[in-house]
Amino acid sequence: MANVEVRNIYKSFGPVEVIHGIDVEIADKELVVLVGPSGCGKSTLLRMIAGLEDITAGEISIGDTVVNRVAAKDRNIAMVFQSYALYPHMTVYRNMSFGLRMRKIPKDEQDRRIRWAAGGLELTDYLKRYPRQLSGGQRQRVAMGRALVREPIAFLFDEPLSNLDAQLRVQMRTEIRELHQRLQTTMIYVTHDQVEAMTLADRIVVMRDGYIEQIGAPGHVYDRPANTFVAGFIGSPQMNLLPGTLGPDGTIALEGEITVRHTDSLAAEAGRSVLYGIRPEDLQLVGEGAGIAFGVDVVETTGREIELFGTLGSRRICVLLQGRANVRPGETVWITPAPERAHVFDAESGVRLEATGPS
Amino acid sequence: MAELDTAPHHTLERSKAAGRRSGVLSVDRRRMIGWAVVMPLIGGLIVFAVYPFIYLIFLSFSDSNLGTLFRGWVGVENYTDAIGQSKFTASLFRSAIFALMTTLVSVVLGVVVALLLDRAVKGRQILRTLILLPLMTPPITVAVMWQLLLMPKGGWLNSFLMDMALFSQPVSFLGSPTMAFPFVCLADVWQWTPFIALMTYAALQTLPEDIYEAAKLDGASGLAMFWSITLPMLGPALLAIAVLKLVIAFKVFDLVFVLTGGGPGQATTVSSFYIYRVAIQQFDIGAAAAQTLMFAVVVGLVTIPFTTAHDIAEKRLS
Amino acid sequence: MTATRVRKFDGGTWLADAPVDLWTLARWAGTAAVVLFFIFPMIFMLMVSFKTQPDIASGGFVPEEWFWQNYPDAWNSVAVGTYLRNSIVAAALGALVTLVIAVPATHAIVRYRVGGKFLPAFILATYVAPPIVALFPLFFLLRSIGLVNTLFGMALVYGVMNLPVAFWLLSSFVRRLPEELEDAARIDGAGYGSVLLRITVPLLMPGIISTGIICLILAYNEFLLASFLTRSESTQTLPVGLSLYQGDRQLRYGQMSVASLIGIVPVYLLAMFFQRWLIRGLTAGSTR
Repeated sequence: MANVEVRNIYKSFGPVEVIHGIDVEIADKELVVLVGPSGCGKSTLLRMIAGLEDITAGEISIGDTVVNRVAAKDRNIAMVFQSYALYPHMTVYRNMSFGLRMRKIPKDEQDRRIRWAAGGLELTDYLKRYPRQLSGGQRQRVAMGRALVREPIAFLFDEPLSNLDAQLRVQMRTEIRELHQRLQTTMIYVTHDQVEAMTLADRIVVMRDGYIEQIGAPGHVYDRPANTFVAGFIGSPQMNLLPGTLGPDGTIALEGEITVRHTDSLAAEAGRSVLYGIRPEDLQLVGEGAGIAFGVDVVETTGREIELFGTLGSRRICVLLQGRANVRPGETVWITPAPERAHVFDAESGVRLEATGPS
Repeated sequence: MAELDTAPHHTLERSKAAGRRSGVLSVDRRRMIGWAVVMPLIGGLIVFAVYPFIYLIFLSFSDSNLGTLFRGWVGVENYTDAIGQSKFTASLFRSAIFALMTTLVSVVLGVVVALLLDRAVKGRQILRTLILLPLMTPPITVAVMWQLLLMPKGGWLNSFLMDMALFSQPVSFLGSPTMAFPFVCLADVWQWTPFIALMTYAALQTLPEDIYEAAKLDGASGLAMFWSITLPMLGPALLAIAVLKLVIAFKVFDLVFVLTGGGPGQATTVSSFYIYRVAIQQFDIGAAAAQTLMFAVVVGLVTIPFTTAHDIAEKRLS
Repeated sequence: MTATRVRKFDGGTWLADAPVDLWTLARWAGTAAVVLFFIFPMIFMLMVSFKTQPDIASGGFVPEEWFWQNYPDAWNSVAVGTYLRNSIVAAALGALVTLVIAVPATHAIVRYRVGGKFLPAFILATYVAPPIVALFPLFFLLRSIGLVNTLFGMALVYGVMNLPVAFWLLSSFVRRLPEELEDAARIDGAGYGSVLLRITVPLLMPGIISTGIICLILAYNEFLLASFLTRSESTQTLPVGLSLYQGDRQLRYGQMSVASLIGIVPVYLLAMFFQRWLIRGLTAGSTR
């Protein structure tokens, strides 16, 4: 079992630097999700931890051993790939046994582990099949099984569910979470899907353009995004961000002479340009004339929720309503934000403004 | 573990120099083993390409014959002699014409065959196998086949033309100064068109179907579709194929050797054959070396415009 | 013939509407002409192989009388069997040499970018030079190590000669192999050699077979180098043997046809049986 430490890591491909010195500490038995838009460096970081990419500068240690100069094959970690990377010329059984054969694990022990993993993954009947004879979901399970039998000190997942259909993806997500609870092994999971990140992770690492934007528990990252990027990236539909000016006494003056309130005791002085952030679900419908007038352009319903899209000042915003509401496009409704759910960011740097620190 | 937010990168202190370490790891090590694995290939290239090339350079400045090499240094005499020999310069020109002509004809014919192959609903398999055969035939045997077809006494073409009453006397096609060269070209086209057809056919299969569907909806008809979509999209592939054919055509030797022996006169003496004769019949290896190098330059000069065109076409499409 | 299926180049509605029309006829006529053009010389040679010398001179297509004697005569008068054996040995051994060198090297060059952009360009550039360039230097090299006029020497020459072609063909196959498979094997604990032998080579097998057959045929068909580097019956290959007919004062067309036919039977059989592989190999370069 192992903790993983990433210290001041840089990565360049030729002259292009793609990771600009990042630090992450992953505790033993923790499930950490690296999340970010494509090209943010999350997969590259994972591949460096795996030993598939060289480290340009910095240090990675697994279980307190610096592994910069340890080849992938000697790191005793297992990885599940987005494409599954199953060996097409081997049966399911041989796929799972390959890593064990390479490590010269005795035959009966190999068999024991494969039977165990296949049982848990409902693959027992497919051990003699070839990957091409399996469905997408089954292939994904074989990829998982191949990692499991290795009994590695850490599991790495590189977007393992992206190639599955939506329903299967949700199911497998739960299974991975269960697996983690059962195995109690360190897992590092890369995804671009923020929902996957939120549901799976003990902690989330949000990355962008080779930098880490925020590290924290899902709830924390959601409730207190460190900057406007995280605010926009985590949560769907996106947080509404409206430009405004900080007023006295916890008020913010938005465009169109709208004034909203917040509850953070900001050190920042009045008159400062800020971005006022409020999540769609933190806006509520109120009686006519009671709140802010909001012209609805589009109404989308998911069955469970209703999303109203329209313009406030110069920005498009979204309001998320639970349950049923009878709103039609073209109507004007009145909304009011919950002051304690407001987020305030510096307009220029995008950094969250708060004096009280993490709560 | 405490939930600590990391500082956003704007404020991140960059201490790259402190963290920088050279990491000789998997990728570098793989590349090192890779070099070891590539060495035999490089060795082979040295033996087959680099060494001959350097050797030829030395030979070309020497007086050498098959029996005794390097009997003395003669400076650029071999080169000036070669340029002075109109038979040699004519052979260079003839090689270039041969390469360009056979490439042009076999590419055009190859595209036609590829289109026929692409549209053939039934028997495509058989068609492909049949077409594969000329390509598989040893060039020496191709030459023999065409020799049989073209010979004045009993050749099929003569009998056919006389049966049709077009000729009264048998004609020695390969003995005629005007007809020998085109017929050598024809035999070459016969051998290589299938190759071009197969490559073109494969390139056709990579063209995205939806573009054709879009063009169909735009009202393009068969012929317009070919000119405005198939041909432009096939452009880079065709140019690449043409380059390959050019290179192969410059290597032609066996056909000439059997069909005409370079004759009549010099009518079909392409450079590789001319050089071969200088070496084998006149034993003048020094002169042959100089001529070989000059020939290689001509091959490059003729091929480069096509590779350039290919690069441009490829860039335009991507 | 009802052409109701609109294939991609038909585009217009004419084909879908009219089951048989001028275009369809023209296409069939064209196909027939193409097939005829490509097989006619072979058929004619086959016919000649059954003709007596006077029959050949008379110029008919079908033999006046089927004359079988050319076959034993050809076999007995020139060493067709020996030539054939020499050709097969030199070509097969040569193809083996090519593959043993080219497969690991191509993998390393394509996958690990050994030699950067220069090496691939250089390898292909060496193919451009006409073989006449290598002829004399190779002759002197082989002579100095005593391999002139040996089958082993020819096999080595062929093995090396086809390296650029093999690299070109194999590289498109290697490029199509998903890199993640090798990554997965590496994580599973496989080193350089294990990845190559247990993952890459098995998955590359179609490409290796295609490349091997093509190199085999190229070597089998080669004439210029063989004619210069082999001097005696015991080492001369079939193309060289065939070329010897050309020296006769009176060309024995019938026997020459027989010998040529014997020579093409092995490659044609190869072409029939490995049609799929051959085409896949030949077209690998244009569909990358």
